[in-house]
Amino acid sequence: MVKYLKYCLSLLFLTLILSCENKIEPLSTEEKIALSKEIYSTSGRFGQGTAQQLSILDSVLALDPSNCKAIRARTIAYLKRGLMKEWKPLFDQAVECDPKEWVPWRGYLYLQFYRDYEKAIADFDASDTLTPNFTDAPQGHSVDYWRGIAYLGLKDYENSITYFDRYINEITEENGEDWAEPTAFLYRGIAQYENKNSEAALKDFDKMILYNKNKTADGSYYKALILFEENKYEEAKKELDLAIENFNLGYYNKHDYTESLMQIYIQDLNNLEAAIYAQSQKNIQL
Amino acid sequence: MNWNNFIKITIITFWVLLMVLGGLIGYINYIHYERLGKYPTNTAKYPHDVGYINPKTAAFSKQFALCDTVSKPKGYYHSERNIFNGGKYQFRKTISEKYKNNGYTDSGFLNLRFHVNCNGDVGNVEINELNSDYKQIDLNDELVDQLVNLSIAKENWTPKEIGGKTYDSYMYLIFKIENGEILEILP
Repeated sequence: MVKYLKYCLSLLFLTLILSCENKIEPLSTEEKIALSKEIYSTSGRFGQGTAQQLSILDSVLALDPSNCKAIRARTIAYLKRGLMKEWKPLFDQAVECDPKEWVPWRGYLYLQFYRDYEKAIADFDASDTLTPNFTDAPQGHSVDYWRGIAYLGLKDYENSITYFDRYINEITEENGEDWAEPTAFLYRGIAQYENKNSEAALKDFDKMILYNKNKTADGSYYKALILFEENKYEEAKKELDLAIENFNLGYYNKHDYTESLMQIYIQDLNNLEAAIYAQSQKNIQL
Repeated sequence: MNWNNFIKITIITFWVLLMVLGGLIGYINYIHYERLGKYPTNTAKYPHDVGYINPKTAAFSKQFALCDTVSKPKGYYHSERNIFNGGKYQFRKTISEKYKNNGYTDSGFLNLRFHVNCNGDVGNVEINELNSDYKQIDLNDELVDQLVNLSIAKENWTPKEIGGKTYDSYMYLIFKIENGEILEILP
């Protein structure tokens, strides 16, 4: 029994010694890259922008300076917390590391967070060259969709409509129109409306309403606006009531971190309601 | 009973158990070291989390105090929810009605980061004047003063409220400016 335990003890020591020796060996490049990826996967345990997370990401990059995901991960807190001068050079490093992946993403971020339409379009255009025959989709939507929004922001309605057409047509051919992001119809409708084509705008707002199953304050608001301008006050009021109901239920176009482009507010709806009421009263007096 | 053998077996068993336990602790530490412990938090490089505002270098900090000196202000950096008193619509309306372009020709961004304390007071304002490439420049002082003073007015803000209690908040603003005109107010 005593001898058996002695053997066990010796075996344990031997295992520990071998185990220690194994860990002292320097890592090969492949092992460093693998470890970098493994540690990167743990960085999500820490809050974005915390000292712990940034330190871990530094360690990830010390092992593998070409870990582009880690380079990009460092930028997120700067973006969300509004530190734009710190964000840009850091994100540019991610772009340099993997242009195919991060150029279209930078375009999206320029658009969504800084309303920097020209820079956004330049990046979306560059993504066409970087990935020919492939439509990039940062944040889940095609660069054509984002270009449609960027040109709308620039008040270049023709180009905005062209890119929304391209986006919607491509989706329709591949999977059917109902697979398109409904706000593509909303924004193309706004571009049509601003471009003085109310008929085309109404068709788009109807599609926005259809694909949101009548739960869109934006679609109903813009539809009511056109009906009001066409002197159809009763119809406009009915549509606007639906818009207000949906708005109060939270069914309106919004974004988690920034204002959506052309986001509507309850005051917009109230202003239109007051205008419809005033015009209706004027007509009664006449 | 052979007491000698009993004592020997007891001692050896104790040692084996101790070694196993030590090995286990060592292995757990090794896993921790490999994954995290080897990469300790670099407090020299990152003394604060991203978004920290240093009251010593920020403007409007002398008469301002956070209500909670222990916890960080709540991260509250977007246009949704209720940080704007009357919503973003009202803030934009206030700025567009009160801001005057007195012949400014500046273009770029004015980026403000600040705190709104639990009483709705605004302070610890970090002011960043940037060009269209997001690099530090010097915008017209009068333009900057106008926008800063209009922005930090107490009536623009509401303190964060959870369950009837108000908290300190962190907020930022970005004004996109072209030839002295405000094109966009973000976030």
